[in-house]
Amino acid sequence: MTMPTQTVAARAVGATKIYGRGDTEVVALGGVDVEFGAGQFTAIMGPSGSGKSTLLHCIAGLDRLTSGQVFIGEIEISSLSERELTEVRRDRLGFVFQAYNLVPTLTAYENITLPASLAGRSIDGEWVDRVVGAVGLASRLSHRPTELSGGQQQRVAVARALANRPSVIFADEPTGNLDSKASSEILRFLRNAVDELGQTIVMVTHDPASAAFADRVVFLSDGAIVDSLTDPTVDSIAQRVRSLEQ
Amino acid sequence: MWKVSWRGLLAHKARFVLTALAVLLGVMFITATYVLTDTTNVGFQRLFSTVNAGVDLQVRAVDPIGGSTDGPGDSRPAIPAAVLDLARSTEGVAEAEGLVFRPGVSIVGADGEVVQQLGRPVFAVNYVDQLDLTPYSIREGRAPERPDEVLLDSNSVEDGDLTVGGPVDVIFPTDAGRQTFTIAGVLSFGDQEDFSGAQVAMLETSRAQEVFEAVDEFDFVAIAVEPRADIQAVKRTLASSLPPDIEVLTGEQVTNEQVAQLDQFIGIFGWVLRGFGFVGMFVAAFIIVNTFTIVVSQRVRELALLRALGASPRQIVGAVLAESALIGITASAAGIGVGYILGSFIQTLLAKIGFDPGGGIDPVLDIRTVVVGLSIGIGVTMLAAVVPAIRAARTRPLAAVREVEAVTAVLNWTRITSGFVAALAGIAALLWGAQAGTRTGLLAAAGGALVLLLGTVALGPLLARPAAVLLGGPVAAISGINGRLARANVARNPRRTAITASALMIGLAIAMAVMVLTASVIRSIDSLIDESIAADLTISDSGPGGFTTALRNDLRDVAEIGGATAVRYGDRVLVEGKGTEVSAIEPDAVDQLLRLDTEGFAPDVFANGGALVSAELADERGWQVGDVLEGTFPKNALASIPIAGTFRVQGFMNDIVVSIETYEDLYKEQQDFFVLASAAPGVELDALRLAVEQRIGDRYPNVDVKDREELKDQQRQQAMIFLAVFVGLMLLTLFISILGILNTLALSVIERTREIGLLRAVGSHRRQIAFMVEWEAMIVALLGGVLGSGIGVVLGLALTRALQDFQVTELASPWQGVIGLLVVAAVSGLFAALYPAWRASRLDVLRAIATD
Repeated sequence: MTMPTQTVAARAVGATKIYGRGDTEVVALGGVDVEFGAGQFTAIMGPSGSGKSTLLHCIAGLDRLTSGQVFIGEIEISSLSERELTEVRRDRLGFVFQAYNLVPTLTAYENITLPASLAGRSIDGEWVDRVVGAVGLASRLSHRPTELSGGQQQRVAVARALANRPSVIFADEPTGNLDSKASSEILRFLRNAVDELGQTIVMVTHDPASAAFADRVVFLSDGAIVDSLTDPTVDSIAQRVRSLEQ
Repeated sequence: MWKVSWRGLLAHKARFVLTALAVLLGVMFITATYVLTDTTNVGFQRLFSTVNAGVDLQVRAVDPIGGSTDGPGDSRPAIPAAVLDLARSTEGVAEAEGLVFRPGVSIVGADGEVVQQLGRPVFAVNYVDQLDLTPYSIREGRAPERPDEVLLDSNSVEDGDLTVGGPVDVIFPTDAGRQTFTIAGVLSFGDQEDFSGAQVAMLETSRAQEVFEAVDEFDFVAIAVEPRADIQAVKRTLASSLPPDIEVLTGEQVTNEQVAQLDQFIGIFGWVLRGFGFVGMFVAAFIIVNTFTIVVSQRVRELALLRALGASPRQIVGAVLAESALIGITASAAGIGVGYILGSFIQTLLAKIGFDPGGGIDPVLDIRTVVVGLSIGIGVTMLAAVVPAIRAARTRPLAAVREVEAVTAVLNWTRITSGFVAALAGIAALLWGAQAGTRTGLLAAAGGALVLLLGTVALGPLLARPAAVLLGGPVAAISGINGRLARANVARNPRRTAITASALMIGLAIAMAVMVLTASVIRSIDSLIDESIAADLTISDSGPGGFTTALRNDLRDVAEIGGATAVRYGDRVLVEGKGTEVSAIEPDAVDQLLRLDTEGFAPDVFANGGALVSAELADERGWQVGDVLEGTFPKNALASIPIAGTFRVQGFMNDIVVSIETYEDLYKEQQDFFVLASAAPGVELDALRLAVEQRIGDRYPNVDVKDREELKDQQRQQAMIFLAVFVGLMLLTLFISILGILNTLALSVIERTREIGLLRAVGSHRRQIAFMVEWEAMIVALLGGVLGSGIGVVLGLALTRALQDFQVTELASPWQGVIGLLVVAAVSGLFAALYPAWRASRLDVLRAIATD
């Protein structure tokens, strides 16, 4: 399952996102070039308003760029129709959001298999079982989201993202609402997914401790990439963050 | 707090638009019916003042029956011509004229067909020198100088393609039958050309009296007093010289009497129409409850903040009620405006098809209309908002800081228990009332129906989940995940689902009940005709009225006819102190042409002034065969009638049946409503029919000849027209309940913004989201449809049973109706969901995710 690390799973070229017009114009992304290697765990960091979430949303096909290009594998998604884009999200990408990741009327299992159901695909039971086992949810599959703890809900979300065997998983502050124990659990699952399954993950976070789980950290400020770190530690990240804030 | 209400309303105005629209529609309908009936009233008032203009006093016979005056052609006897001479010689009287005024005439056009305007009455009147005392004036031509001359109204002349100086045939509903006249001129009515579409044939006085077998008699005498005479004084003088069975009224009294009679009729008509408006408002109340409940739950943080800042629960209730009041005021005011426009528009349409009582009168917006519209609109809106307001007031200040979860309502067992008890009690009352067959029974049944409806509404939340599973099962199987999500959404908030479905249920239940009743009536008509009539052919007027008695005479020597009888119906009379209706047939018909199933029938007694009495009436009043009944009749004020037998099968007969000869002694007016005929032995039906049509076809274009099947068809058609009109009026309610589904779904979509965003993010196509919403609407609508048709069938069956006394004896199977109704429900649901589904599918993914 492991892919050569030099392969690029997703990349943005000259990604520009401008909100508003004239006097109220705000440049959220000012021509960002970035690549996310396959089988890599990348963290995107930056202060509030740095454009990190916008970058994630645009690369993940949830939002459209004002100009520039985004590639998922070899597919250039900025030119896709709404319908094609939806299919890319459904079939090639996985998502973990900060909160409200699950459809409250569906059970944990139904949530995990939701993208497959939406696609009308048959479910790869063996794979789902393995993913479910990995996140330790086997006994909770028939529960509804309201019957699960916050940490468990996020684990279901991770399982859903993995169950789809996506090219890339995008995680937007996946531990933002969790206590530290549940947080590190989730981050370990993500780490394991990269190490054991060769999964590509891109995660937005503002927490150095979380970012330290990644292989690489990209720093964003005022809509531009200002720095990056490979094999980061909590300390080295915290140092960069401080220097960025000055 | 008013400021908070106002701001709250403005901030959420989109959410209240549909609520307001529902209220608006209900108020609009109610207003429109008032405008329509008020304008018609004012129109007729003006018309009657015109008719009676110039008449200071009127002399006429006292109604022997009392209180049963049904306008022109009522049961008053004629008065002797001597009364006219007396009036003329009374001091203070300037002019007096004796007038003949009889309905039931047919004018034959140039093409040989009857000139008739949509069920409008056609009158025969007499010419008098003082035309000022009548509403007529001669517009063209001259007064009739010979007995064979006639003046006609302009409608008859134009529509009949007739010419002044040319011939015209007039058919009288008396022995005179069809007569030919020369048209001497054209009449107009006061300052108007048209008497609201009514037609009139004016004959010379002696001819009019002769034709109506009223020689030396008048129906009334119209009087103008001397310019300076006191009307009341003249009235007193005149009255004192007249016998007690003749009365004198002022022109004003006559006008008021006519207006009052019409008021009553239009009033009933107006209330029936308004009933649909009230049902619509009732349904609108459900929408209001849902909207406020949802909006309150969406604003829980805002309310909690207000509470935390020190607003008391009372103030919160006040704020929510104030919002509802603002909506009620706005919507009712708009509803009154739109209703006024709608009423005026319908008035114009009616005028176009010839019904123009307004006669160019501006539509009337009475202050009462405004008051009723506003009170109902505001009242219903505020009442429906009470429960959501109380719920809002229960918001704890802490809710502001908690994460708001999508509402999952808990079943309220008190409510469900009371709903269950109410439904059972309702059914019990319904069944008891239906079989009791009395007035109290009918009231109990109606009350039971209402309680059953309300009980079902209360039970709704309990039914919503199982219904979602049952009805949603096939949906989920067909459409996979979208269907499953839809089903889950239906079950998610049973209360909301139940209220939405109930709104639809009410309209559909009423429609279903009427469908069952109509189907039963149609089947009853079939068996009624088969069981009560033995004749092969039925001859009847093509309009609603009767026809000339001459027709029966013309058939006497048709060889193909084995037996025939005329059938007459009389106005209500008093028999042994109680109002009763009488029919008349020829003695031979009792055994041959009808299937009365008589008991103790004495043909001799019957033929000589006796009567057959329905077994039911005889039982009720304790009458025996051989008893003599005392009755008060129009012609022969007091009559004694021996009972010549009883009959069990009533069919088309009234409770008392006399012979035609007896009838002629008792009633002033003679006209036949049916002639029944059977073939002579060995004569085929076709031959009989041909012979009958040849004899009367050209001569009486105003009658139709029907065999048994055609008779059934005609009766069925009338029932179907009733059903069509009823269902048409129910569309208002259906439309309001569709608004309800639309509104609830649209609000639910807003509520589920994040969930929908999530679905879109993980790969739901827009189309899939739309389908999900459509399926949801369809399940809710089908729930409404199933409940509605279920209750409707029960109501319909009860209604049918309750009307057994009115000869509705057969119960019809309602399956076709049920299927039709479910289809209507499903389509309504799909239609209602179009906009919410579109909205949901267009939600911006990112905004949906980012919503906090």
